[in-house]
Amino acid sequence: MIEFIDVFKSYYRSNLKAVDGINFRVEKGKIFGFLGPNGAGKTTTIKLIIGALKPDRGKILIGGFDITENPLEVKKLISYVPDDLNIFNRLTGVEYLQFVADMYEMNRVVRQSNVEKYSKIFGIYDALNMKIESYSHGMKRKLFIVGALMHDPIVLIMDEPFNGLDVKATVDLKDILHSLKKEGKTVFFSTHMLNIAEDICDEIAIIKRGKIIYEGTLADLKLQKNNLYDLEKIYVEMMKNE
Amino acid sequence: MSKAFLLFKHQIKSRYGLHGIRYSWKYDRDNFINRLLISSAVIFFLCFTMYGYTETNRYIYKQLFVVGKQDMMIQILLNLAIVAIFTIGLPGIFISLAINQNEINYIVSFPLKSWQILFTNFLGAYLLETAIAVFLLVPGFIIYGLNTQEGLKYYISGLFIILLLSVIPITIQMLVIILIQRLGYLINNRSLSNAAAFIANICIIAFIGLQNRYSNFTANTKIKALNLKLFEIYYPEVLAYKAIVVRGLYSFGYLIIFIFISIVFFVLLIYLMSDTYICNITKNSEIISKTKKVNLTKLLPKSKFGSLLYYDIKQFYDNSTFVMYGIVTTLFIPVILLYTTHSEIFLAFIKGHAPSPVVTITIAFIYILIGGSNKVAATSISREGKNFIYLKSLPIESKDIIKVKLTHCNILSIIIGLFVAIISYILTHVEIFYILIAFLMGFFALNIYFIFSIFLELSYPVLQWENPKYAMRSSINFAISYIVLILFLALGIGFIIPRLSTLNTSYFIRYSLMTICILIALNFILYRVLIGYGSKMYYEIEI
Repeated sequence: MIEFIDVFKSYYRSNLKAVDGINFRVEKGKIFGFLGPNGAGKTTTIKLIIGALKPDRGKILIGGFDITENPLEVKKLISYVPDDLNIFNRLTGVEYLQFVADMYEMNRVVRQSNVEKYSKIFGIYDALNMKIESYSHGMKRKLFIVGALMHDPIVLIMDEPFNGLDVKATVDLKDILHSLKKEGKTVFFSTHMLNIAEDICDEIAIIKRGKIIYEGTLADLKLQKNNLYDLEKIYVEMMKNE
Repeated sequence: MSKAFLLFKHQIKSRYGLHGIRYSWKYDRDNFINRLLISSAVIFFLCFTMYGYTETNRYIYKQLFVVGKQDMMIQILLNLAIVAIFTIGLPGIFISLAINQNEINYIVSFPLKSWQILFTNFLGAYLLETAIAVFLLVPGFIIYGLNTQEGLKYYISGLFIILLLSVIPITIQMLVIILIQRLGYLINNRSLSNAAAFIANICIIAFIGLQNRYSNFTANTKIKALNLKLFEIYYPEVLAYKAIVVRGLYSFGYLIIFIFISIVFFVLLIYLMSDTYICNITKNSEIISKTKKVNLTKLLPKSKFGSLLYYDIKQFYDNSTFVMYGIVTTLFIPVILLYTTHSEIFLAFIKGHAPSPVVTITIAFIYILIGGSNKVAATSISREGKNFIYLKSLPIESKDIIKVKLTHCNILSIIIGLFVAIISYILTHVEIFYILIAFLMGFFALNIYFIFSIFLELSYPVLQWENPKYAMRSSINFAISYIVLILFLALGIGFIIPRLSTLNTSYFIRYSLMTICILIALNFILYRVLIGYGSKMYYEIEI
């Protein structure tokens, strides 16, 4: 469903590579975790998937479409939860959701029922008429997750979706991701939280200085390291050695 | 004091994105070259404008010399400068004091004294408004000084007055805003107090502007008994005037009193209002939790275009910074400046001498100038900021975005056009047919300007910002497109208007209709080019 073929991307006005020849593949119906330290290239990779950045070299295929050649086709398939939530601050929650629903050309019944369903699950229903700028960090995160889920995307792309979520919302989001997986949808998200990756990811990739240093299941990763350490120790070790 | 200056330096960087020349040269060469080119263009533009303004002042001096009222030159200049300082300075002062910004919440957490925070705000306004005073007063003061063969004393007094003229207006505006905000919090209504503070300042400006009108003035009869009523209500201007014009030691006395009053105003503001200002900031940070009950039945589908347009308009007009630098400045400044001497001379000329073709084209040019002065087109992409990443993830066609931006500009353009048409009709009594010609010419010419501005925005957007002021003030696209606009108008006034004064009316109508047809054709071609260019650039823009 998502395929990166030899993708390079440099930082703006710099020769320094944020993404340095990465290759990976995410199959349909999988939950894929993208791990790495700060500044490793996770957000750049996500921006490349959603078409916010253009690769310097290489191909990115989503649902068989090349994001550079068919951006509109790709964007109809995906939904995106950004990491930086300081956006659309002047709109109310409901105005933002209305805007997103209009962009995906959702019909009245689906938009009303999905907004109600997801905003009640995440406990922000009563705050929908408030301006986004007055939301707490966690509430903003929940709102953008509702915005991403409400049009039933084929591929869900999330940048650090669990940051700032309370315990109940974290559990709810995990449940929703599992049910999306059962429906054959694909989920790609970046995270720092290894326990969450361990809980829900079918596969992971670890990125360091723009290069993928591991791709596969967590079980395989532990096996490779002779089951000597727990995941956290393996991760720290990899960040030191590679 | 050093902390206050450090804070000021930070604020200037935050608002204008200024970094050291050495830093740019070392680490960001492209940016350095861009800035150098833009700065050169802006300096060229300022020199060009300064030349035109100097010539106007020379003309006014000559007219006053004929009737032996040269000293009136200083009064006229001081009047203009004070109205301009009050008017142009208000948006910036209001935004910095009344509109809550994320940064200020962070700044109050530092070990800074309240006066240091207010002082930095004052300094920001002072620099901008003193620049206005320099621009408006220096040419006229020099013309007067050279012609009346003034000595060193005159130039020293002039320098002090230019440097201190903005202190009292800033103090008055800050005092009004801080006090009314405080009163508003006592009755627990933040929005009302902010609105009241802004309206109170507009009333002050309108009052000064209205008093600033000159009676018994026509360009034909030169200047008869000029009655400068502003003198009766704004005493610091009398002191400034006398410090320059009065001969002998008395002038030093007036100068010292002027300096003393300015300093007293400043010190009283800082001493009395600092704590109240900090109190207002903390009140401003309180979150409004009142909310209407959610009604999802209103969540009805809209077309992509309609929804994008609603979003664009909402995002612009719901942000006070954008409103201040956009529509308020656009409509407000021309109305207030209409009451200055220069406009009086202009109106007298239009009423007394100008034939209909000249009046028509002048109205069209005024429409283009006012319509082009707002920052709606020149920040069309930049004001998206980080929203742009999210917008790019949505299934939106680039041409839809461009159409929406252009439609938004044209909605505003039509409002401004109608406003100019009505005011022009009332002031000049020219036939409605000519007003219609002026409107159509202005509308289609402005649309070309908007297309040009959006073209620039697609090429050089400013999307990395936290403070919306940065998006507005550092918009190089605004500077470039505004320079092009002014050059176009200057060339138009220089070449077209002189030829129109002798043109037969029927020929004028024929040429006007031809011009409108050419403008429509140009609109069509440039629009197609913009859509083509935008489709490519939309995917190239990166944050």
